[in-house]
Amino acid sequence: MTGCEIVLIEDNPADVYLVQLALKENGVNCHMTTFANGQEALKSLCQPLETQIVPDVILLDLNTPKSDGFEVLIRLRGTPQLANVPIAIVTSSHATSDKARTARLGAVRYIHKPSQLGEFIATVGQAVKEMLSQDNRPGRAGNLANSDQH
Amino acid sequence: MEPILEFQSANLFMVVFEDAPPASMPQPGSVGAADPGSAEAIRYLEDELRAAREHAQAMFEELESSNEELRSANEEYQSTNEELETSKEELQSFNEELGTVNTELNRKIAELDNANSDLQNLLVSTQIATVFLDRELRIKAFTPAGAAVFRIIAGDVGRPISDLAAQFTGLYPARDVQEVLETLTERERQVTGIGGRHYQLRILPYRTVKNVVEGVVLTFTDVTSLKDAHRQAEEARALAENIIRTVREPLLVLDAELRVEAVNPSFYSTFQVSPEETRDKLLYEIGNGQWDIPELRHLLGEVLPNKRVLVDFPVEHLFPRIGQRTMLLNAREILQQDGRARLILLAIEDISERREAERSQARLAAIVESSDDAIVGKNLSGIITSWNKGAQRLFGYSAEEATGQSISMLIPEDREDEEPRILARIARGETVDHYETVRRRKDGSLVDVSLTISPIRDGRGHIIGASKIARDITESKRAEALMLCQKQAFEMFTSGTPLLKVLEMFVRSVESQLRLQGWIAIHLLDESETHFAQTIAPSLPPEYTSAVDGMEVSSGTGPCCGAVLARERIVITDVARSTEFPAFAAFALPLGIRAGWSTPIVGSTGKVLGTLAEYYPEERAPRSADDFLEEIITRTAAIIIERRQAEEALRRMNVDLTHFAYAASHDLQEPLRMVMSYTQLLARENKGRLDPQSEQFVAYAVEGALRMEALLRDLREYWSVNEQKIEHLILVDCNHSLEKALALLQMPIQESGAVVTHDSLPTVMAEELPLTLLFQNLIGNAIKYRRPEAAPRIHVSAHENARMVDFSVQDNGIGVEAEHLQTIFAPFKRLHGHEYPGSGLGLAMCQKIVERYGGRIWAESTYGQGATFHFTLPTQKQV
Repeated sequence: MTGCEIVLIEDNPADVYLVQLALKENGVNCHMTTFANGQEALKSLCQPLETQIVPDVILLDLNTPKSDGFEVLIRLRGTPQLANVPIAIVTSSHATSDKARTARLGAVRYIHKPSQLGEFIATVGQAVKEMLSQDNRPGRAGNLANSDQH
Repeated sequence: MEPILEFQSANLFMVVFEDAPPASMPQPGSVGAADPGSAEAIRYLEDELRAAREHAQAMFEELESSNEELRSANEEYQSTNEELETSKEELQSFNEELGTVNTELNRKIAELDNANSDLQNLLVSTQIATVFLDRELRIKAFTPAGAAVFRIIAGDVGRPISDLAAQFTGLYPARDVQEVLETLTERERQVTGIGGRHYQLRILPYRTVKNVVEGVVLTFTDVTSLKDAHRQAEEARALAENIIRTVREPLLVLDAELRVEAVNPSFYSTFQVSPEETRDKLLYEIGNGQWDIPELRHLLGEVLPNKRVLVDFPVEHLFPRIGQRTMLLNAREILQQDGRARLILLAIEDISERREAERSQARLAAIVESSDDAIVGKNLSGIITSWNKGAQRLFGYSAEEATGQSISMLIPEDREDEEPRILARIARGETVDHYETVRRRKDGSLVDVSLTISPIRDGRGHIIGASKIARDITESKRAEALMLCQKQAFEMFTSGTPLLKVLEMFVRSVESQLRLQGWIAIHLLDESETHFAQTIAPSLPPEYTSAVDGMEVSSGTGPCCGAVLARERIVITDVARSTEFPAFAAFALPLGIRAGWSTPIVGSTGKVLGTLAEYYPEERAPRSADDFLEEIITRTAAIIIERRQAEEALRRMNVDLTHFAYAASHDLQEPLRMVMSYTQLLARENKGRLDPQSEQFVAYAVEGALRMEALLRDLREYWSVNEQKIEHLILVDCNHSLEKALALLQMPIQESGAVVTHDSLPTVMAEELPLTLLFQNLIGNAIKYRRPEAAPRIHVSAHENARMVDFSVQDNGIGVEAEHLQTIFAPFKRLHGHEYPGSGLGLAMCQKIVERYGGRIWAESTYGQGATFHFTLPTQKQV
């Protein structure tokens, strides 16, 4: 699975590494842009159309400094060019209310970060792969099919 | 008839009787009629005539011879006449003699007449009824009295007495009369006549002067009155004797020498002496000289000579047989007819017991009089008969005012029905014990009293009234009422009533329960103790509250400010005359406050929490009772205020802690995950390059991190039960919750081979997730603490009560020791080590869940034989 663009909004470098590891080990060879906080991410992603990156998947950590994860989610969902980009919440929160709330706000997945390394790699990697394969934007599904052939 | 002889001085006649021709001889004129019957008649008449002639012839011849006879007779007469002449002379002299005799006789007759009337008068005047009978027992004569006895009248003279006597049986003893006639000896008898009168009957032979018995004389002497007198005397004697026998007082009759003439039985019994020791003895000899009392001897010695009368003369004497006695002596001469021996009647009254009774009565009276309690006597109509000083103190009436009045003057109108009920109980002989009620004093004020009322009986045991002991229990009643108010306040407080509400109810109940004649106000200071923050004065007008609320303490406006500043009670006995708080006086007087005082409410740390103010509508100084009142109120208020403050602090701290724990259980999760992930990554990246010991270390680190993660998960669940507000309760089907729990427990159930059974479970008012968690924990616990040798058998049952369902989860595990049954629900309480893994929060969480819905959880167990966990949940929403 190559040529795709993934945005990770995550302040913890340790988790960034683990997500990269998960993608790599699950054969997702995408370019990943990481933002350490919501503000930066929004500044970059919500630019005018011609200069912006339109990622294939956005992974959002709810507990990011400087801005509230929900706030970021709302802003992302409110950006027209990102309307079709699937957003997954990646969090260590156990609050069930958060899951429901993010779903209402347009997040397609709610990935709880498992403590066990193996579980983390499997869960996160699998989730991203699935999101990419369900990507219904034109010209994207093929990428997934190609990658399957690796 | 013609004079025979011509005696000169004799008026003698010779009477000659001749046959006269019958008056019916036929008259010549009547013959001659020639009727047919005449011839017959003539023939008859001629025969008659012839017979008559013949007869006349014979007569003539006879007459001739008679003539001759007469002639000879005449001659005889002549001689006789001569004889008569001499006789006449004799007669003449005899006649003269007779004349003298006649004169004599006339004189005698006159004498006899006199004697006769004398006798007659005598008989009449004696009133002795006398009846004379002749030999044939016919009534010969009688006296007027006799007439009355026999009811004889003059015409009865000559009638046999038996004719009359028949109707007076008993009055006339016929046989006795007969005997008297025969024996000629007199007899006496007692007879009863008409109208029950009694007579002494004497029967005497009637002797003529010549000593010839010519009949009998009956004399009846009326002895009725004599007999009555005798009977009366007899009765009087018997009565006197009976009286003497019956009188309980010992009596002695003594002669002039003081020798005992008579004794009554009481004397014997009282002084325990025998008749032998007493009768005919001198007084001083009786019973071995026990009566040898010089004083008595002297006194009795004066009775006869000086006509002295002893009245209630007291003598105390120690008797050898009966001990010390107090006696009253009464002695006097017995009044008798002259000439009789003079006697003394000595009456002895033993008053030893009465004296003792009097003494004890006097003691009792003294006790009654000096008693602090009111002791009142009343009769069954409720009229006061006695009244002691205690009653005067308690009720205000003096004995003179109260005695004779109705007890109802002490009873307030609203308790008027009490008295009839009390009297009814007394009349039944019951005692009314410690009856607490209210009575009215003379001044109209009410007083709490405890009554003990007992029936009073007379000597025969009849109830004649009641004695009432009334104790003033105002103080204890006040104390009791205060305690009750305090208790109510504490109860309200404990049940979570807000502080101000509790204090308001407390003040209200104290005012009403104690029938306070004034008002109470509690003022609370703010945190800084510089201002009055709240006022609790439910009976005072709102102006009061608004004036005090927010007042600065340092302003010193009223006694409350003063009390806080001085930390002691500030008293104003008369607001109108006090100069200390002029602003207060101007404010308080229009509200009707005339006196008052304020006491600081001091907390346990010495901090002033507020003040208690008491106000009264008239001048007044604090009394000792007020001190108690204040102490109770200030202490109660201080306790409640401080407790509420402490509770508030605790609650805040608890909330903080809960938040912290909840946050910590979440926040710790993240770093833990880092530790775990990177430890594992480290191990993975260096696989083959680490020595076996280092690999072991990494494994330990991961294991520790895993355990910690489990612990944090439990903690999160535990606190989440606490943290999450109850959004809304729904009816949860417990069967469904249990199934969910069993699904979550699938792994351990399979591993342990547990068999979980359950009854059909009801629906309860709860939330779905916690309920599942509850079943999951309890069943998980039952599986975890199984006996190694036996597969777990778990049964869940439910029993529905009125508003709650009793659930039980029964297992066959290792059980819980009795001493731990109470503590197993505490958080982190673990009874076991590593052999039974766990955080120690499972049962704590169960308790939290059950209590969240108003239920209760507990365990029962026989150690080694399994345990049963019970919990209750509501079927409906709890209010």
